[in-house]
Amino acid sequence: MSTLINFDRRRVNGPEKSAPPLYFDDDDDDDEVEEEDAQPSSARPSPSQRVGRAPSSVRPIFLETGLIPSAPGSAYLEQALTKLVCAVYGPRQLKSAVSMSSERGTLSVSLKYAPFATPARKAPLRDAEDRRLSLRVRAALAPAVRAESFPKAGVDVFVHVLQGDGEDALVCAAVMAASAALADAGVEMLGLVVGCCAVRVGLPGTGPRWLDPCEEEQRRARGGVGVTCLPALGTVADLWQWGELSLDEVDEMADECRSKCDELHHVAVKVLLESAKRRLGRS
Amino acid sequence: MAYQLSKAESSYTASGLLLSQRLDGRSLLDYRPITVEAGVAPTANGSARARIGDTEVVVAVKLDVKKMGEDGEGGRCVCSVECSPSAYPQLDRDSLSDLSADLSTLLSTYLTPIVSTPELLIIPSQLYWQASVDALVLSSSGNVHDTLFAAVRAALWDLRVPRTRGVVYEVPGGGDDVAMGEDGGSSVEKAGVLDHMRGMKRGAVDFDLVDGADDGTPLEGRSDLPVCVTLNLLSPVFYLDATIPEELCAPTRLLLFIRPSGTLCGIHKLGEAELPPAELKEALQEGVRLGKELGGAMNARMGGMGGKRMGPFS
Repeated sequence: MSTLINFDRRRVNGPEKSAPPLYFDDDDDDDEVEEEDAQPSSARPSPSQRVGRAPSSVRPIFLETGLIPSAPGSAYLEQALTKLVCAVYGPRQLKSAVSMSSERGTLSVSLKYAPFATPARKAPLRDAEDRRLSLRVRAALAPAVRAESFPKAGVDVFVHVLQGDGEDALVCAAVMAASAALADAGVEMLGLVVGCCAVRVGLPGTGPRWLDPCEEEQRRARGGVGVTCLPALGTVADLWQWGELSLDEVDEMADECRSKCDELHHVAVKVLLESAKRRLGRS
Repeated sequence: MAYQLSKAESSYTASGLLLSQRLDGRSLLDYRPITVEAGVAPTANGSARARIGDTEVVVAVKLDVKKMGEDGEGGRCVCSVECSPSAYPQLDRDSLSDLSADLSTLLSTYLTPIVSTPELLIIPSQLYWQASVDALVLSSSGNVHDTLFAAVRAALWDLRVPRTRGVVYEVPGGGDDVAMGEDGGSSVEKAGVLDHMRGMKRGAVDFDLVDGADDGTPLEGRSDLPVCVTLNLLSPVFYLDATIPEELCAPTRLLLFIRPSGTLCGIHKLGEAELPPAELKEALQEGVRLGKELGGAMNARMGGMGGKRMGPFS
């Protein structure tokens, strides 16, 4: 009865103690109906087999520009569970006196996770991971942006991650969204930057390579490679690698990523063309 | 970096590099003399000082006993790099702390998977040694990354993990096992622990330090620890071990982390220029070859000199 004092009628009150249900998955087939039902889970994939996707598939991308009216350029990107918003401000005057003498403009990128972006809550403070990813996105964008076209001024790129799924994939998505937003803002660029990443699972020399890994796949991987490039110029903007991989594997994966980037480039170009047409039609 | 190079100086250095001429007479792929000294901090479990040219970094590794969190694998390596203001007199406090933070993140990104070996486990899924890698950049004249990782590598080479043995508590009645370990050891009884133990698979619940004359075991895979090779790419040439003016001339720098066996443990790009893929490929290939060479040379020296002091080599 004493529990009734703390009883909250507005909530669904479960029992005080609870336990997760137990599942018995016997290997002997005792029920055909169940067998069919449990097909996706009971056919436990071998570790080197990808669930639900072809090894070289990239998850479908939804990209839209001009989402934030107050920003000169903005983009929203959704790729399966990865969702992010990117806004570009500038070129605008900088506060610091240091940059006043420089011939090149400053490009600053800040990538922030929403506190609810990951399964574990991220405290809304500047943490090391945000800065690391910001620098990575910046490294990808810097070769493309013509900073000499806005001397003594700065362009600020803000990427807000609403949901993240796989760090490398997130960086690639952020790069693509940011370059679309920069183009939307009318910042001069040498070309659009798009990124693609790949991981390698299993033992050295044998495992398959998977493009565009999600969080889970990235955790299981032995090593991974990320490439961002400017397909219009055929050059590489940034390359990173982690884990343990041989040189041949890195080469192979980088090549595959680059050829995938060419396809992704078409997606971004199409989106920008459409938004430009819309804008022309409106005015 | 706030350090600036005048246009004349920059073009002078760059045109020299394009003709394979460097200001100090080295060839493009030569290092300055590398000096590594291990065991410089007596209170640390492993320490080293590395010097390439006039760049000097001191690294100390200390081990602490940590409890594993609920998520199982906690971070087994905490890295921090501090850049001394005397090494970067031209930087203000903010950019100095940014530089330190960036180097720390770089170090922990590439070092954590390497240091998280089972050797640092004391009791599986319960206690582990957490390695705190603290680096201090004492002076800088270019190529801080290579020096930093050379020092870290030497400190990990010097690292001695204290010997431990697990302790199991005796269950009254079913008492068949006591402390495990080389010399039998003693068992301690505690009621609370015993109850807890009944439902569990039997395993060590606590540990003892093993007394011995030596101070621990070195890491098993220490001869395959990676080295860092920074390739400075000034299209179409690339050069190693850049001094500060040379560093400022290179539009792109590639950090490669290479094991002496040839496996790549990481690639990181610095700088703001794009690269043609063919050039990138060539640079990677050459970088891996050079990394293997450097790693092999370090191993030979560290092994031969008893790991205490290593003279200059290139």
